[in-house]
Amino acid sequence: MRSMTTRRLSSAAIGLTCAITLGACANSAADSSGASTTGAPKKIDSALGATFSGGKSGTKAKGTPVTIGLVNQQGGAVSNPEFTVAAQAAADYINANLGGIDGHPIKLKTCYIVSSEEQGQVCAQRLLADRSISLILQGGLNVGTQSLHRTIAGEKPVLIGQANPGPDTVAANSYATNASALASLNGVGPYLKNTLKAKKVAIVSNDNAGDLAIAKIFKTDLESRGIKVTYATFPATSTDLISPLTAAGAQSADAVVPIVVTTTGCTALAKAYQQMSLTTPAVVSNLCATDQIKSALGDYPKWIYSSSTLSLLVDDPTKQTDLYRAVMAAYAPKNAELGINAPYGFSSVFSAATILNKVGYGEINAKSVKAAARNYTGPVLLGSPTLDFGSVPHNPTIGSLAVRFYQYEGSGTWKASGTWINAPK
Amino acid sequence: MEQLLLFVLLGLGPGALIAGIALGLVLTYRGSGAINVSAGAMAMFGAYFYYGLREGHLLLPLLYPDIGGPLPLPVAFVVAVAATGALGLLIDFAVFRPLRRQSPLAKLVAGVGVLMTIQAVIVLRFGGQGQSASDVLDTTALHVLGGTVPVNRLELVGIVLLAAVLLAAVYRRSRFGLATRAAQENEAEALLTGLSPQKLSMANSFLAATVCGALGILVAPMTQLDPNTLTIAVVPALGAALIARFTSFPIAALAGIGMGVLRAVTTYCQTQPWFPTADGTAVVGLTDVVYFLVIVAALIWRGKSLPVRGAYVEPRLPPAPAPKRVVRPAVVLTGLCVLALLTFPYDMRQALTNTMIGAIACLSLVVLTGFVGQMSLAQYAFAGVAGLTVSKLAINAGIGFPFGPVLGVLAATALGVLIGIPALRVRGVQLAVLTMAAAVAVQAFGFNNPSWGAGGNGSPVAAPTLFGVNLGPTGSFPINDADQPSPLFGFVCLILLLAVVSLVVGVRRSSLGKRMLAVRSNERAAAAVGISTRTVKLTAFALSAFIVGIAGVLYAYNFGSVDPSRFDIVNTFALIAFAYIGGITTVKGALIAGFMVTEGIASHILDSYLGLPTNYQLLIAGVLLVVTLIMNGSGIALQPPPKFTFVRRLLRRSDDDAPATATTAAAMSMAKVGGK
Repeated sequence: MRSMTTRRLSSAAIGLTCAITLGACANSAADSSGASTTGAPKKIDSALGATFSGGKSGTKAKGTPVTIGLVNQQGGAVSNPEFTVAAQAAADYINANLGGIDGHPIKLKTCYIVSSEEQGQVCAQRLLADRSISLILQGGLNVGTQSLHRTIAGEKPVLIGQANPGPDTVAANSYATNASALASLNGVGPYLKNTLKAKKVAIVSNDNAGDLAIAKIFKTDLESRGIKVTYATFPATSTDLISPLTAAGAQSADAVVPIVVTTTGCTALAKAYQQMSLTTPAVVSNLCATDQIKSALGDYPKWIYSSSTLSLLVDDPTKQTDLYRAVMAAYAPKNAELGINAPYGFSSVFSAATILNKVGYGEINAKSVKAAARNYTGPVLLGSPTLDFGSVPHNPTIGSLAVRFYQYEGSGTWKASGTWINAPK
Repeated sequence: MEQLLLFVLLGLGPGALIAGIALGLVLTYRGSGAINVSAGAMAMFGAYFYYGLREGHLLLPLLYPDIGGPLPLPVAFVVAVAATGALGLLIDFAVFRPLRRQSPLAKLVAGVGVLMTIQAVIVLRFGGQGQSASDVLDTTALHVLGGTVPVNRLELVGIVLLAAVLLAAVYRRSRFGLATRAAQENEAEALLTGLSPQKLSMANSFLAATVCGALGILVAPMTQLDPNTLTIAVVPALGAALIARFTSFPIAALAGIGMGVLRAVTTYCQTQPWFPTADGTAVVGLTDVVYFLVIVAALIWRGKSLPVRGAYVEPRLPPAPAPKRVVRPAVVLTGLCVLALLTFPYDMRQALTNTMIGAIACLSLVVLTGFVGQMSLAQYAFAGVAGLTVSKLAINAGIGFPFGPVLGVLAATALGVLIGIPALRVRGVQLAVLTMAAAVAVQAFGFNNPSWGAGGNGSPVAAPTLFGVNLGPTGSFPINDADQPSPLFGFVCLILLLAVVSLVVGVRRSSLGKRMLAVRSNERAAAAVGISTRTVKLTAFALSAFIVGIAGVLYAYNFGSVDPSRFDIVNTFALIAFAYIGGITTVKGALIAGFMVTEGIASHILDSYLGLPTNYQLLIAGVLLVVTLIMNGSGIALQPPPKFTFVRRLLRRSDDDAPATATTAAAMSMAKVGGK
């Protein structure tokens, strides 16, 4: 009787599993929280696109594809699928309109790190073993970064589309085209000193080792500029920022510099600000200017957003954001996320195309691509106008710490800081 | 002083979250004897269900239908709490009831499966990014003591304390509460008196789920609505419940609130000039160390070196038979592994390597839990210490292979003995939670520290080299080494696995093994016949830490670095889950478990060859974990071999034809003879 009951239960459980799986499959409108492409320009400026891909406008790619590896974190509790979606849209557009790589289409071979160190190693081994791959693109990773880079160990060049603190900044044969939140490292100090005239700054970060390292860099830099810094940490698993903000003296400081690089962290900061009725300007990453925060709070927080990519919320005289929005409207799934990690994915494929076009289809191999990547000086679509790998002390993979600041004044009004700060010459 | 008081007030909010989940843990434990680590996930579910209703949707496992508009706050609150209660009932019926007679470890592992399942459903529906939940409590703030204290924090504390007092009163004075206590203390006697432990368990689970669900709804607007924050809050809540011995509601609530206050006060103290610093910044993780020390002090003070007469006896772990025939299976398996390393493609070679390392880690649990009955959630902390020691010795002292790994393993062993000391006075689920607190402290204070820990870039580990030969994953080998990992590293893992298997088999067959089983079976009886339970337990902790230290060293060489996240408590839960499902009391079980570890052979095949979509891996893993646990309560290793009943029936049918024909022929010939 017990074994029969167990068998029935297990059958029911297996049935339920299938049902859940199928149901989840049928209703996987999971994170459609992104900005829509409604209002995107209908015409794509392919001439502009060609300047960022190194290809020929109006040319369709055909023939044997050029395979580019792509590693991204997605599928688990922390997941950035928008990076991959945008990368694929960029690849499809480049293939359809800009001649791909020397006339050959780009094919992205993806490998996802869901939640473990082992998966980083598996992805690295898989992409190393694939002889058709001579270049690997990488999205922002929170786990598996160590094993990924230690396994690749410089055997193939890695183009990091969105660098995170930690191994991304020192990995061998790796080139970060966008320093993401790290870009603030050099820019925030001068901005606080010269623009905000800050004398006292509060820094808060979680106790993750990478964020601690960044906070320390900020603290040292600001103190060297004569700015008094009070610094408090909170557990990485906590999203209650009231205590650390209070401890760091946020209420009486001239500015707050929170080390938050995820939407989760940004939302937690916004909630703390709301509950504390805090008005101290916060200098945060542009990853905090998301639709989720806007819809939850009614508007973007009136913070200063440091950004290593062009903001989609501000008019762009260079028309790069128009290009991005138009391509995503045409090639990405409907309602694809445009913000968060998507711009990094999009621009990294263009950077890859430029590098590979420079090498030429017939000469593509790990060695030639490494040389071309090392010498790639930009401009990065939506990102830094110039790159100089090796120019950032102690962070050899970072090509640029170029950053822009956008201050939100409410009612849809953004004030941009002007041009890029700290772009390599 | 004013500032200190301010932070005491600020800590009340987070403390109330910990306290509320602790109440849920105590409720479930009192009803079903299970430590329900999915309590935080249930709070998260309640919060999302409420969020859905306020957005005009109904959150169901299969659908997210539009209900025609957002529900008003009070209605949405009641419905969401009721839905969470229903989830609690379902979990009790489908998961904890079938495991009622299993050990607390089995129930803990089941809780992990439930946690994974709930989290996966939420991630599939809402994604991993946080949402901003609408407020339920008062959103005004008090400007006091030079700071701002949101009123909703104080309200939440009040609600939690009221809940604790009410629950205490109900369980002390009501018939339901008395019945629950009776069933908890002695289920058989409770049955004889006409009580239904199963119905009591369901009622308690429902209550626990509603408490957690309500808490989640109230807390989410203050922090964040995401799949992780509330889920992981169960970790400190376990500490609070442990201080309350999973029995007292007021103590659990006060302990939880105290933990929140302690953390807030520590945050304030960090900014003071006298606070210890490392590399120019305040030392992190001190709060977790204090949590651990407080828990240890409380338990050791109240604990006993032997269980007292009449103490609640927890259901036993599965049997731990001595391995009988070892040599032949070992030779066969070794041969197969050698062949696999020489012929498998690179990804399967890596999966086999991960399997072997995972099996070694699981063998550490066979010794500690399977033989001695001690539950430990600090295994990966020991492994991490070993790995980090290897890395630091090489970087700072130039001590490489083979002395580095030896010293690393010894460091892990020393830590194992240290953490084993409280085990002399604490046992069962309490020991499990105590070791969990130790692991969290090691992680936060040790591994995450930028100076002596793994740091932001991780701690690199050079390949092991002996006499100029690279024995690591990047080493050369004349056969099948075109891609990483090198078969040579696989052989190193295989040799160490064989050595550890021999060690464990040897222990089991020795008099030490018999003493271990005696302690596992009945500590008082073992002590009565002269067995030193203290020596046996410490030896078990030492051996277990030694073994998992070997796994830690191999992980470090495998990845070429030590990343703190590798050795966190979540991965330890996963290790225990695999070990239990494989069979935590036998060597064979550990080997089976090795197949199932993350990117072990089984999971790699599911992922890479059967194309299990990554989005659904978490969901399917959670469900399968629970199902497998229910179907194989003793672990796969102890299940009888498949009887292939259908095949046998088929064969028997064809054989049965022959006797039938012969009988008929005989009958016919007799008839002919008779008919003459």
